[in-house]
Amino acid sequence: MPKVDRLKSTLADVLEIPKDVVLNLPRLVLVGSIQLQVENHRGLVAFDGSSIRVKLSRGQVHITGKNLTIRTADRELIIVDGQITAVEFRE
Amino acid sequence: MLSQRMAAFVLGFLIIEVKSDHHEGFINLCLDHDIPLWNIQIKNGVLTAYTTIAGYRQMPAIARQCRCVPRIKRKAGMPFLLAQLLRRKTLVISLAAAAVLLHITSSFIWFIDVTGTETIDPQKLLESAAQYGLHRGVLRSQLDLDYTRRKLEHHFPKASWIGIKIEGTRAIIKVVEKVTPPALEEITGDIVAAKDGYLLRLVAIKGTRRATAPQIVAQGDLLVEGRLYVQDQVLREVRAEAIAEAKVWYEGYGVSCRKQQLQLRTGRTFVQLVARVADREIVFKGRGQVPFSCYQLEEEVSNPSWRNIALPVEVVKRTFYELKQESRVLTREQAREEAEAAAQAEALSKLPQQAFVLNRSVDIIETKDADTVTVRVTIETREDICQFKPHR
Repeated sequence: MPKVDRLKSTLADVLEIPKDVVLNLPRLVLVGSIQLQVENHRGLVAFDGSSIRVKLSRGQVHITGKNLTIRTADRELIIVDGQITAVEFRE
Repeated sequence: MLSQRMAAFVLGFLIIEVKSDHHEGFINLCLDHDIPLWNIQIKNGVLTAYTTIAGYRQMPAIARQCRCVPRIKRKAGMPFLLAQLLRRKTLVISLAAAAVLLHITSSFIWFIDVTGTETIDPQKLLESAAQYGLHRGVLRSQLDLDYTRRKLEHHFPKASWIGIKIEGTRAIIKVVEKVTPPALEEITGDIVAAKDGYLLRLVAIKGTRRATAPQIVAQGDLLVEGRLYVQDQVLREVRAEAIAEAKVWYEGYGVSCRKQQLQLRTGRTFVQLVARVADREIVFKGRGQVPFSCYQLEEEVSNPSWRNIALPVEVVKRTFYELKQESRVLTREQAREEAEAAAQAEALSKLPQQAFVLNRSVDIIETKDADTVTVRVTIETREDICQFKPHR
């Protein structure tokens, strides 16, 4: 982690501020295995019915499953519906 | 999101198909241009997505950039439904005619119900209601319910209250009939003593006297019998009436201990402010343990509300008062005063409102315990002890 981020992380701990806000990190909410919400993304890298790759501020998140559908998409949020089998972070 | 979908339905939306090798690029460009997309799917290399009409109008530039052609697969939403509907003129005219007919027929009163009648004939009530403007087939707008109600109340004196309620095409006349209590004269009975006492004066207004003043009477003793006699033969039964004044005594006891342990407030407080939702409590102020070992708690609960809208949240303010133990020793006189006050309060609590106090006496009851003082307060009153007891 870069020095600036380490400082921000310490500051967030001290001031009890959510780290995703301070460090500009994505927030992922997985609802069972049927829905995944990705907040603070940087766009789609790849998309087909069985896998979706979403670009993040650092790296990518790789979602695999069956019948994957993008329920809604805007600049901030992507909601993926379907039978999610794996969520993987890649640099 | 729901409001967004509802807005899309009201404003109309399109289901589009895009054939391209780089669907991701097309989606990213749409997101960059704030073109709303939802329900995005890819099947057999064809991207299907929902978008708004305004969004679709912005797409050609993006499509040129991505070298793809978005095609409308289906149009949906209110504007397209209406357009489809307006093409079928007969259907539209029929629907409009049905709506107008429904509106016209629902403007009349078709049914009149009467509820709550027992002795009043509902048929007569309906006839009178028709006379005063409420009948089958009358226009609702022509009804003057207050006038009809007042006239009906005047016409039926047996009714204590008449209300008319309109529910759609139905009028409901609700009647509450008068309930007359039986005349007091019809209930015969005796006058007996309501409590123990020393009878001072007895005036039999109606009935046969069965006690003479002065004399001691016990609760329930017959004072005036509700029967009139002629030569030892009962002439008739009456409702006895009398004035019976008697001396009555009320006692109260008070005990005071000379050595007392008191809990006094030190003046230090700890305040806790809590929002309570169902079983959960969120502490805003005063987290952690109460800093006193001995305390008295006072809780104030308030429900934030505006007009008749109450929030399902309770705001609780808990004030913890620190207490300290203190012992004190009363003199015998102080202890007596305290016991007397307690005894007096107990005796006074038994006194009826109309009692006239004649005398008050205080007795100290001697006990083996030197530290305890017991006092008895006796209050002597003059009051009416008549109690009516029906024959049956």
